[in-house]
Amino acid sequence: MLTDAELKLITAATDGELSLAEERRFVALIAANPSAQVVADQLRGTSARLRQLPIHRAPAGMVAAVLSRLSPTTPARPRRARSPLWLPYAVAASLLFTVSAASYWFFTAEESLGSRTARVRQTLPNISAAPTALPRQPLPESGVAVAPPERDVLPWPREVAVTAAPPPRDIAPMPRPHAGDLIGAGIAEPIKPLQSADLTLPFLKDVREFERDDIRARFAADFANHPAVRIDLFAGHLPHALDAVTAAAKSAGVVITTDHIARERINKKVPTAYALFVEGLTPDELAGLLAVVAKKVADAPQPAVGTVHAYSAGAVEQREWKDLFGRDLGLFRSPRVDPKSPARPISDGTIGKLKQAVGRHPAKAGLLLTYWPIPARTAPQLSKETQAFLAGRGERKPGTLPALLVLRPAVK
Amino acid sequence: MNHDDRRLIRDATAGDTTAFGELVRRYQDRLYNIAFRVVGNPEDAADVVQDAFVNAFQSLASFKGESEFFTWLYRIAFNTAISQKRKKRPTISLDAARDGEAGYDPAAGTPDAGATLERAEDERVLTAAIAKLSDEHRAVLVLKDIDGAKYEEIAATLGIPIGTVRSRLHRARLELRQLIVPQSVGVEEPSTPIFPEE
Repeated sequence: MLTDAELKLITAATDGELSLAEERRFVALIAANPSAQVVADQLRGTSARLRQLPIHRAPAGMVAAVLSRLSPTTPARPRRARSPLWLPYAVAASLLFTVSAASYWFFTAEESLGSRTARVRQTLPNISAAPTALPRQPLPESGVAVAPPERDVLPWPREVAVTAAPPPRDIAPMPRPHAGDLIGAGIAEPIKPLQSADLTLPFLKDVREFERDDIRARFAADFANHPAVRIDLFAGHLPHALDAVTAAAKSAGVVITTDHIARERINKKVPTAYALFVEGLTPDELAGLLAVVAKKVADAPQPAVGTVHAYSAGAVEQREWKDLFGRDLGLFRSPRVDPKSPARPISDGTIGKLKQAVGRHPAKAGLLLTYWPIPARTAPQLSKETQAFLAGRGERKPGTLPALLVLRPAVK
Repeated sequence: MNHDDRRLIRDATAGDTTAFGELVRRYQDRLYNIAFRVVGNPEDAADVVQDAFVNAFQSLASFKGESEFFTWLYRIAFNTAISQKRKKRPTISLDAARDGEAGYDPAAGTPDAGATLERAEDERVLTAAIAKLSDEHRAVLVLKDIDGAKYEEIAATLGIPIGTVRSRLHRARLELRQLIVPQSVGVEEPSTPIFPEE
């Protein structure tokens, strides 16, 4: 029979976790008790069997799955211990009490000090009128009891330094003269009435209106000189809307790359809003694309796409697209031109590079991504499709208008 | 903690999910293998690992770097696994592993079909036995005999003294042996627990 301590010792020996002293004790135990060796062998055998179990690796896509669940915000900072709710009130009340008590004490103490000084001044005898020496008393004869001399009721006061009363003080200084500040000052100049106001109305149309020439022409004219456009398509039926938009894009000659998360959600029919980024289309072609979408959804009993809202991409979109693609697409920067350097002829090497760039990327390319919910968005750095699309982008062609078409559910 | 981990944690704390993705890539297999042995089936193990990483990201700012990142991560995963086991009854699913599903990496050297079958049977028996252990015993056993951690690391991971690690480990092995070999030889089994908890 082995004791607890001996069994612990054998366990540690099996795992090779003995100190030098324990090792000596273990050797002695094995020599003294044959059953210790048996137990050690059994434990070793069990451990060996466990170690031979196959290793299970994490399923593919674990990284993407984890990242898709992460909030795009910074991890939360550790929360400080929460103080009771009443603490600030208690601190404020005690502070107020302290200030009030101190003020009261200060003023009352000053007042009583002044009255006491006055009282002392009244009771003090007139030093200048006092005799310079006490009246001499006759010495008593020896052996005769003599009553003590009669004294004044009060003993002769000690000398007291009397200071002059402090001059009366003002309770508070006079307020400063009021000079106009930012809040109190009046307006320097009266506001002139508005002469005119420029209002930009949103380009908000029913998708069916894009079948009209004038609407398409207006769309093209409105966005011809903008860096990029965002087009929100409010869909009554997202899968049908997605089919219509991708088919329309393909008919316009756009080669679409689909991100794997988007593909997975499309296959599983998970409710998702999608974003299709297209480059290489002119404003006319974009309007034509929307006209094709209108034709494709016209036959359905319930229109898959209802309203189209288009607006020029600005600073907000620039930031959003940077998050979406993991880098700035460079759509909002004007090309850098050095005025000092004269125009140079294109070298053969540059032409070769241009040819290579043109060859590796279709002229009209699109990337389909998940847009909403935000946690379902692919981390752009981890998306091979996004990286391939971005790597294949060439120079923006003149007259083209990059566009982000967002398919989102219509609010019913 | 190594320098790379420290850098990645710093970047991830600042909101760089790519850096956190690298941390996931580094530790996912080790954590998954442990989680698989603790919860007993691949689906739950994947859930535990995912939840653990997400929880770790959310509380990354509270990680002070006083311990190894994996030790801290394992604590989160272990708590997640335990709470998941409490929510649902334990199930043993070895079919996926036997069918050679993605992520299953059999031990090297399978000379013939007989040996493979023998090994698969051994795994089935051992996995079933591990699943029957208590949470405490399973945790030390998996960390020591499957993950190969040292006593000191196990103590730090589980937050218990090294003496308790020894006690629990011995009791876990004894219990496991009783489950896989009912007729244990050589030791007279006491009716009461051998080790008092420290």
